[in-house]
Amino acid sequence: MKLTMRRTGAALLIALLAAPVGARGGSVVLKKAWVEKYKNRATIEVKFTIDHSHKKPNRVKDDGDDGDLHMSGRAPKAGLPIVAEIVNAAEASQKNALLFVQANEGKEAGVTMKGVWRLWFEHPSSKEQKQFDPVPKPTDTNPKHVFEVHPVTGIGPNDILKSFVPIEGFTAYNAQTAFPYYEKIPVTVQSTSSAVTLISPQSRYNYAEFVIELAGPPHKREDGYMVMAIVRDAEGAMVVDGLRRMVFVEGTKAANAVKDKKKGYRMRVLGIPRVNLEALAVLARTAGPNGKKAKLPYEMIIVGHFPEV
Amino acid sequence: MTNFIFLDVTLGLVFVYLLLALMCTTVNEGIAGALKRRSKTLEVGIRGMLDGPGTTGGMTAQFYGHPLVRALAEEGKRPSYIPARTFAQVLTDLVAKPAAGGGSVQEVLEKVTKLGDGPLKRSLETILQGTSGSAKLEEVQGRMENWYNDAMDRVSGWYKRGSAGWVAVVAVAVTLATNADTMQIAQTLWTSPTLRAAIVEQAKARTEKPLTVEYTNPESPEPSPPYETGVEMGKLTAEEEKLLGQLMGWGDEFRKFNRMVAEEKAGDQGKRCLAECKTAAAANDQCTADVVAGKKKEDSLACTCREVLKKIEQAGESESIPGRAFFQYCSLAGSWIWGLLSQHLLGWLLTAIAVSLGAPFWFDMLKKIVNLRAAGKAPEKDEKKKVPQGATT
Repeated sequence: MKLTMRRTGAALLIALLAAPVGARGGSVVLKKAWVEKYKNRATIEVKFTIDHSHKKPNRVKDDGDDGDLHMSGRAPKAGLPIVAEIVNAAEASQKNALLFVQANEGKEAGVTMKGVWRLWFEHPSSKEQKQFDPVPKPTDTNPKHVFEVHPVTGIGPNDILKSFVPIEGFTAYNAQTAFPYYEKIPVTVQSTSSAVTLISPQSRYNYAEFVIELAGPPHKREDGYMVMAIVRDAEGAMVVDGLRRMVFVEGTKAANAVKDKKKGYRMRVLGIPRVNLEALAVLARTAGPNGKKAKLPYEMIIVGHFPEV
Repeated sequence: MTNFIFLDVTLGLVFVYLLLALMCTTVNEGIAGALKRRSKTLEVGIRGMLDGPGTTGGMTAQFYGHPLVRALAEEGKRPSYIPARTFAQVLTDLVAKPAAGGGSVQEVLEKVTKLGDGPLKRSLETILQGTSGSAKLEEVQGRMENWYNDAMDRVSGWYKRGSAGWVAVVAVAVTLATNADTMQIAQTLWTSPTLRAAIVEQAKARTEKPLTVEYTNPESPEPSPPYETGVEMGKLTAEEEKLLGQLMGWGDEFRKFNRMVAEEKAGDQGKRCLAECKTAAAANDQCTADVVAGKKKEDSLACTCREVLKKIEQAGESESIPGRAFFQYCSLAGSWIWGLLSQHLLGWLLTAIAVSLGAPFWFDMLKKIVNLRAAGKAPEKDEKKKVPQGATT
């Protein structure tokens, strides 16, 4: 009896210690075919049912409010609980897009939406989310999710590429805070013949401001440019050992500014992190079903650039 | 217990070899970059495919002049990596110049037959054998990619063989620069339980580092195969550097030489003082005793020796690099070097050979020893204390 109690006690203690980790982290199962399709793409185009939308954009304040407009919904092509965000939503140029969102909120037929796909464990669910399993209808604008379309580049007839500029009045995380954090995010990768599972703790630091120095020429992709870059802080100090992939969306000011540039060119940018699916695919090759611990591979979506370095 | 000490000393040595090998890798990469060895080896490989070895100009020059290839490197420089797809696209363009829209396979096959006799024509005829004119252009390019990938496997082999000499030279240089003497390191580890414990902890931390994928070639952003961050190139933590500093270095040897110079400078008086008093502290005691006994300081040898020996001992504490003294006292330098060789040569040789085996080798070895050590731990005395299986995750 005493032994059973001891064992139960030990198990309870371990469960209690493990519980907060589990509660803060999440697990998502992606189809390998989907990973292959999107690993070198900047964006995704989906039919999106807008279930809930903010009535007006977030304020822009130093406390983390970033001026985005959030909407939640379902998109069969993504196959996961999804939140979409329009950046710089309060700008006059986004007015038609916002009216369009409001007009289509709750309409089951859905709308065509294009934007940057983003996988990030910012609001993970305690339950495993499996791609292409039935996605429940969300009950608010911010359901538990790891998949986003963020930033949105177009919705319905509205092209909102002009929203890809630094957010006026918003202070992003500086490079010295954000990147060392990104570099240390752990992930366990499990792989089967058709799917790859990521288990990772909740992640932070959505927007970071940093300087990139091109390590090579920008590479043209179907819907943008990808460039390998050295990451520096505002003072020019390197903050990451090695190179990180930067994703520029075709037609944005930042993409137009970078596409002809060569090695050594520096630009100060605003970016948000997402899982690097190309590197994930490589990790998955050696992970196996039992899983391997790894550093979460990430890349930066460049939302805007500043005129001076 | 002795078995565990032996295992920990072995683990310590393997860990030291790994760290030194990582330093060598960094130096080697720097040399390869400065000498453009990657891009040069690649060009030799491509020339062998397109024009034959030892030729100049020809198709190779056209290949490197193609905008798709030029875009892979800075202006005026040759790329150190060319993706197989780019190779196939450029070659198709150079050989067949297909019209806008991609052209047809028939067109490519016809153009190949019209090529001048040479390795390119023979190779293309062989790899395109059995391709019908109605096949897709992608199929032809796929065959070219396979040809290129096979050739690049050989080029990688040349590069590795070409690097072997450099690896050995750099291993010797790093060994000498750090005075890494295997025998001395093993002895230090054997006699210092504190250092052994610290090194075991650091070794374990390195083997537990997670997998990562990096983009090492900015000209062609393709991720590297996954590797364990424990074998990451040249990344020594501050703790690891501190440990290496405790196990090796030139400080002790420089102290010895500086003392030898100080003794030489002190001349006959210094020799007499060393013979009579041995240390400054002993001279001081004797000097005090002489003064108490009524002897004048000027008449006391111990009092004179006190200052002389103090100077010698201070010099013997200095780790400063012998500069001019090395040349001023050539005979001393000679005997110092002879002493170094007789004391360290075998240890240096062992270290240099070990380090030249490379970081991946020592990283694998380290993991095996860490696992062996973990498996060899004494079992829990009380079985009841065991955590239920599966509860730890």
